[in-house]
Amino acid sequence: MTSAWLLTLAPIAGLCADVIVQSACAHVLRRVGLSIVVGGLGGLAATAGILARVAFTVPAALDAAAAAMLVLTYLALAFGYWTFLNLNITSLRIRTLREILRGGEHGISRADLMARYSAQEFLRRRLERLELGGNLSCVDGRWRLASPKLLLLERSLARARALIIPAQREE
Amino acid sequence: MIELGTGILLLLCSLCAQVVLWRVSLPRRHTHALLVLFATLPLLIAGVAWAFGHPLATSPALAARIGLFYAAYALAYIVIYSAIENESPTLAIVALVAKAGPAGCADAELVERFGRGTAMAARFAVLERGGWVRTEGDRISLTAEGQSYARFFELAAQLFGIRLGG
Repeated sequence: MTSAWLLTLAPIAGLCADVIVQSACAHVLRRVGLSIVVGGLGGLAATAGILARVAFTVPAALDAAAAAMLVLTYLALAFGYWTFLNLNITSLRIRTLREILRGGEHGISRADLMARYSAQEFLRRRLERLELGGNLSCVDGRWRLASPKLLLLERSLARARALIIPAQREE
Repeated sequence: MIELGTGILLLLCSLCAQVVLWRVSLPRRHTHALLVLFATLPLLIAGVAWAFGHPLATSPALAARIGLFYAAYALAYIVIYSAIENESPTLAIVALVAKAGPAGCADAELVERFGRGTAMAARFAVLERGGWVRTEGDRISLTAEGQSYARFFELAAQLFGIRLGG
């Protein structure tokens, strides 16, 4: 394989490394959050390793801008993988499908499903996740912001919404 | 440098085209429209450049590199767009708690604002409309298509070590 193609495929190799390392860590460490971070770093290391190898063997094939582009490409692919994992972790629709599948050929009861996933249950799960993630804290029955990260995200998305989606859509 | 510049320029063109198109005529299915726009615009630009006598002078490897960069960021944007399009209930909770300031927000207030409604029924209706589940009396079962997706996500969860989420 020429060095040009090796460089082009480096982000994809990084993504494969990300997936393999994340899966292995998730099974060994039994901590999905940590496995995602370790996987991401593993993929970045793999991408950087390929770039370094090409840079040492064929220096003319790689300049700083090309290296930056390839690393940025890997980061976008890793983000896509993280999104896929996050969807599996947080999506209620996916959870519902998996629960119905586990119910066998007779499925599950609709009444059970609606009772199990009431709006209050939704809220409870979200608050639990926010507290576990260090975003909110609950003291004496009152919820307070523990970290500004998600608030910054919320404000950024609101601004983007105002910029991109015309106001007449608001119902 | 030229590959990175080309990739960024293509992305900016697609984003600008989206903002303009959304103001002219907001599509019914945003994600579908974004996929079509981001897939066709670079091809259109390349075609116009070729028609005006400016063919892309680049090797297949470099063209693939630009394409991969563009596709990765286009897909990342489309994923982020779903969060832009629909306000996340989780982020809405965070915004409400933040608004309460140091005094905090009582549980009862959160329940009043977010603990009512028929969120599950709405999600279930989406699954039914999409042809993934069917209802027979009180029993809900998966269609053939629903089973394929459910098995895919079940396999992915086992492979990537993810517990039953939601």
